[in-house]
Order: sequence, then C-alpha cells, then structure tokens
Amino acid sequence: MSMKPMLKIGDYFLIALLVLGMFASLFIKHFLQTPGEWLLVEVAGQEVRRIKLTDNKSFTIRGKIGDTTIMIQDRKAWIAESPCPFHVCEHMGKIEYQGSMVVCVPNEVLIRISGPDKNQLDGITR
Amino acid sequence: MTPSIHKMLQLAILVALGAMLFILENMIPMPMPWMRLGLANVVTLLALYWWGMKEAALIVILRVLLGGLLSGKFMTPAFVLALSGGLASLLIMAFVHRFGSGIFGVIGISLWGAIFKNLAQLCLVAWVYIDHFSIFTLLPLILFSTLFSGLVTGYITYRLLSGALQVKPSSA
Repeated sequence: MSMKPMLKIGDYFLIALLVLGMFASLFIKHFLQTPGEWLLVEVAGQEVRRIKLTDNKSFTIRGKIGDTTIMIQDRKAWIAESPCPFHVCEHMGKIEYQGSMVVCVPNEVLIRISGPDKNQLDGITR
Repeated sequence: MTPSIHKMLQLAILVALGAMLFILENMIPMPMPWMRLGLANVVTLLALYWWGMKEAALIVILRVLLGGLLSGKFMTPAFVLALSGGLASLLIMAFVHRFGSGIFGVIGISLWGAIFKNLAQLCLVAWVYIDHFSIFTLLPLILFSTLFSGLVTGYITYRLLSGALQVKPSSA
C-alpha cells in the first residue's frame, strides 16, 4: 500500500490551528486570571465548605475513601495530603486565581477558587 | 457473510494489540487522568484504512472490552472513558476518512481522532464526575496533549501503512 506525501494541506492547517489554540489559550489564561477571594471545597459535587483565602490554615475534609488535608497560606490553596492511590492531586500545585482548581478524582474532593462576589460564587467570567 | 479465516485472524490480532497497548498505557500514572498517548488508536486507524468503519468499530468495542476485563477496570470510570473516547474518535475519523481524504492524510485524521477523544472524555469528566465546567481552564494543557498524541499515533500509523508492516489486509 503506497502512500502519498505524509502531510496533506488539511493536516498542516489542523496542526497550525492546534498550536495557535494552545498559545491563544495560554495567553488568555495568563492575562485574564485574577486573584481569588474564596476557596470552595466540594465533595461528590456538593459544596461542603467555603473559606476566605486570607485565612492561613489547614483542615481535613472527609471524602469518599478517606480524609483529604487542605492547606491555605499566603492566599494560595493546595491539597497537602490525600488517601488516593497515586497522590496526583498533591502534585497539582497551589492555586490562587479565580476558576483554578485541584481535583482528587478517587476521593471525589474538589477545591476551587472563586471571586469576591458571595452571591455569584458559581460565575466564572471568562 | 462470514469473513475469511485470514481476515478474522487479522481482526483478532488487531484487537489483542489494541487491548495490550491500552493496558500498558494505563499502567503509567499520569498527572491528568485523560492525558494518554492513545497508542491503541493506531489499531483503530489501521483497521479504518485497511477495511472501513464497520471493522474499525468492531475492533474498538472489542479492544476496550478486552482491555477493561484484562486490566480489571471493567465498568470503572477509566473503562467508560476509554469506551466513549474510542467511539467518539472512531466516528470522527471515519467521517473525515470518508469525506475528507483529499484534504487530510493519516496524521490529520489521527489528530481529528485525538481532538474528539479528548473532547468526549472532557465533557464526560466535567458532566458526570465533577459536574463543573471550570475544568476547561486546563485547555492549554489539553490542547498540547491532543497535538502530541495525535501526531505520534498518526506518524506511527503512517509508517505502518507505507510499508513498515509486511502484511496485506485480507479483503474477504
């Protein structure tokens, strides 16, 4: 089975589009991110806690398979300890901007940052 | 119509290969659960180019079932993700292969498959497991992994189709 050239015109177009989309989304993400005000903790899709990011503290949340330890310091939040098998969420880093989140899928724990408006906590303006 | 033994053998080998690749890939822990190279897609693409959509669909379903059973992930989230991702990417690849072969080569079709695989899995993750759409803030990372996996699988399939594999598909 002999093939014609490896890349056809549409292939170049698609690759260019993906690279462009990558840089555009990086650009948008970089310039649109604003520091957050609240940290929201959800377990299995239900909001269980809401903490000011200015509070420096650590606390534990009961998830599906165990307790997840969450830390807040210097307006940044992260998952410090988790009972999940691969500890992926612990390595997802610290979050500080509106809309960013860390998810622990096995334990069904999600933390995310929201803006100053208390009544529109679900609004993510992007 | 019953396919010939030769063709059944080739189908079975592709299913086994796909399941193997799926299991091997799932053994590597990744920072994001959906960031997979999708090497099993090579098998789908081969079947699509060799025979057509019907055979490719058969292979996708059987490979995900077999891979799920062998890795003990049958009916788990990983299994559901693999099945929906595999079917979504197959549908778009079959469509582009059928109507856009003049514009898109193997690598382009593979990229389309990677895009729709990620799209389907992302929607599923956002809808079922996390129920929130701000997961889309991960877009740059997702686009990068889409591009990378699409190019790698596409290139491998291109090499296989253009003669690296000394096997001719059975037409009967």
